[in-house]
Amino acid sequence: MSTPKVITVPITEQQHLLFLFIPVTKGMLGKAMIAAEQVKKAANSIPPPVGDLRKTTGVHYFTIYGQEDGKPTPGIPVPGFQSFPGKDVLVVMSIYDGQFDTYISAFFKIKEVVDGLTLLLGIMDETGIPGVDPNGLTSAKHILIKGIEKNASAFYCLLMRYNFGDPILSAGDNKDKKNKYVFGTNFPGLTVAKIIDNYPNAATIWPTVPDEVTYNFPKSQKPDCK
Amino acid sequence: MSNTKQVKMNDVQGLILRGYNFPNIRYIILSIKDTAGAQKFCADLASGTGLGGLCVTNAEPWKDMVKPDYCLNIGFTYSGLENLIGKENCDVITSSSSAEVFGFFKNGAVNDATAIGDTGESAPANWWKNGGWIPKNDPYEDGSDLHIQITLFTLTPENREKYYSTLLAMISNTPSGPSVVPVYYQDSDPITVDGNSDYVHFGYRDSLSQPRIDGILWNEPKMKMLMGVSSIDDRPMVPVDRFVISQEASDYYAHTLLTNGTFAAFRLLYQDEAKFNEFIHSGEDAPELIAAKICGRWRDGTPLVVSPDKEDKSLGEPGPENFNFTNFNYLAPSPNQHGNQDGDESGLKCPYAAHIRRANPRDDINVTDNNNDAQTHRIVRRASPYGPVYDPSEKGEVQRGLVGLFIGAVLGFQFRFVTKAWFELGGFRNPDASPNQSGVDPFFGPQVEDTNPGDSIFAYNVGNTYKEMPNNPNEPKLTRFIRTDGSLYLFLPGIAGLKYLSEGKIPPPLTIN
Repeated sequence: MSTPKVITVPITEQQHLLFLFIPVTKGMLGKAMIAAEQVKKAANSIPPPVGDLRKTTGVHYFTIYGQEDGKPTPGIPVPGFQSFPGKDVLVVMSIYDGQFDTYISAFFKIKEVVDGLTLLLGIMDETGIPGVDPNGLTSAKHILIKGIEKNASAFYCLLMRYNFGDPILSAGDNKDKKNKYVFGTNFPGLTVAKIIDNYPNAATIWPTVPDEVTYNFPKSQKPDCK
Repeated sequence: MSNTKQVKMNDVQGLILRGYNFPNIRYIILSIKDTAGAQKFCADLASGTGLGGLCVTNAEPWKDMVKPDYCLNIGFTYSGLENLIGKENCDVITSSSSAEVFGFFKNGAVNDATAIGDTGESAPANWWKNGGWIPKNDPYEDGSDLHIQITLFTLTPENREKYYSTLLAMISNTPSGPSVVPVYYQDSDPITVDGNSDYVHFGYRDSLSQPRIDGILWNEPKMKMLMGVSSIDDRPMVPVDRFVISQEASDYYAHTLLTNGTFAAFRLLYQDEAKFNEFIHSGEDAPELIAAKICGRWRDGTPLVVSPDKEDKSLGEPGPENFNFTNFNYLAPSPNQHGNQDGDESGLKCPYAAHIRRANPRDDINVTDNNNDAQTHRIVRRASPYGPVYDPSEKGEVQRGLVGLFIGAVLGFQFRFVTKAWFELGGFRNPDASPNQSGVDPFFGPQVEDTNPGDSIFAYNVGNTYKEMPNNPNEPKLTRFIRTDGSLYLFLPGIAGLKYLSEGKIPPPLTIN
């Protein structure tokens, strides 16, 4: 068997996993979901001052899910996600291109997105969690004093505190068996920017302002497990 | 991030906002032995009323536009600051300032070395050991014995000695010795080529494109006319809050002690001219072309984007007053760009990897985190050459390079960002048409631990064909032509801030809204 060709995937073209478990004040999950929706809507409908936000954030997919304190994850017979006792939990998962800080800071370019993130910080509850100083320099409470835009580094650290995802572990790089999870891909280095730049009719199918198009999704079928 | 108001020039240290253009410079590092004595030294330098009368130079225009006999500026490391005002006050500043502003400064150059590429030969364990270190004992590896950095600018070598003696005489004595002792110094004198003294080692003309700072007297059209400078300057205005700490910046906040001050990286960079020359002579193209592709400018300063094939003498005499050398962009030509008007989206004229393109990608919005003509990340350079001009017949390692301050109000956005993200990290641009994804800045080369094979290659384009160096195993690899021999992160206070330091106090923070 011949030696496989080695292709280097530059840092900006690597895919990473964000997997947040954000502690939210009990009973505020509804508000958290509204804030999350606000961020999503702003990112989809408001063009950034320069360039294409999708290329800079590099987000391929994302999921947002809120779970009430003490309740099991519905629809499965095992506990699933868990909240910290006495708090609700907001679970956010995404796959993004490149560096963690570049990905997050790209969202700061749109005021309405910042507003949504600020709302989320306002309903976070970091009290009573072992190892977490709820008044520390990277706490939601401290960041809110001057705002996210003036506390970018502190905001990255706050997110990293609740991020199960590893911003160094790149999709497809499973050489190190000690990685805390297996993260596979069939397309190492395929960035959102490359898709936008190279896919035929990308501007029509996925316009710069996503809300210029609506999509219809006929339902796929679940397996029949009765 | 807009701030077009005039800053308080008499409260800002002069070198932040203007290049003095003095020929004979001494960069000095001092260690505090007695806090009270150090405070007195600072008080005297702030007021100019001490023995000898030396005074920190502020940014006010010189009387009748005549250069003074000397200029002097001062900065402090975090351990120096802590020595002067105490840990408790430093903690207040930490909690009242963005991490980008104060956190990286507090962390210091030693702790930040790996992140910005000061590894291997450039690692802190090797700093301050190649000439200039004064004490018998080696410097501490954590840098905690380095407290104050002073730069003395003079018009003659004789005056440099004279004012240095005056400076040392201002230091008070304690029963156990001087309260502040110089531990390191490095002199800088001009390198003159064809009668022009703006050259640096590796043979390039320097000082052609400093940031154009908004709201500063020197940039007013009337002032420019008085200074004999053309006003056809395409450089975008950079908000003054990028260089002078303001309470009105949109992306950072800072304790009031920091107001009208700034931060800087003091860098002692060794340049390996023999290795550099070997590399540029190893390719199949003319060494001058390869040198130009590495820098982004021909040796006389002509930008490759303006003239991709040769130096362009029609641009006039190079210099900071001639904007023909800085009126250009990478994607769309700037309004008064001379010469070639083609965009360089694909990096065919000037490689993405070229040093000046990485340090200031201008209008290239495809560069990571550049959506405003690099305004957020611009750096003021107050650095100058040291050591003798290279002689190909010289034996052994002769110390030469660049020494000085790389200034920006926010280390996290400016010096640290550019060095880490644009010079060293790779993935500079997306999309990237070059065969090695642009690698790293070719002057600084790959880090020791860098496993990306593309980072050991320099790729450039001639006549629509990419070339790679080395292109066979016998040719030298792209390596580090510049080694870090010393580094400090500094706070350069405003004059009022310096007075607070001299009293061991801090002003109250602004009321939090």
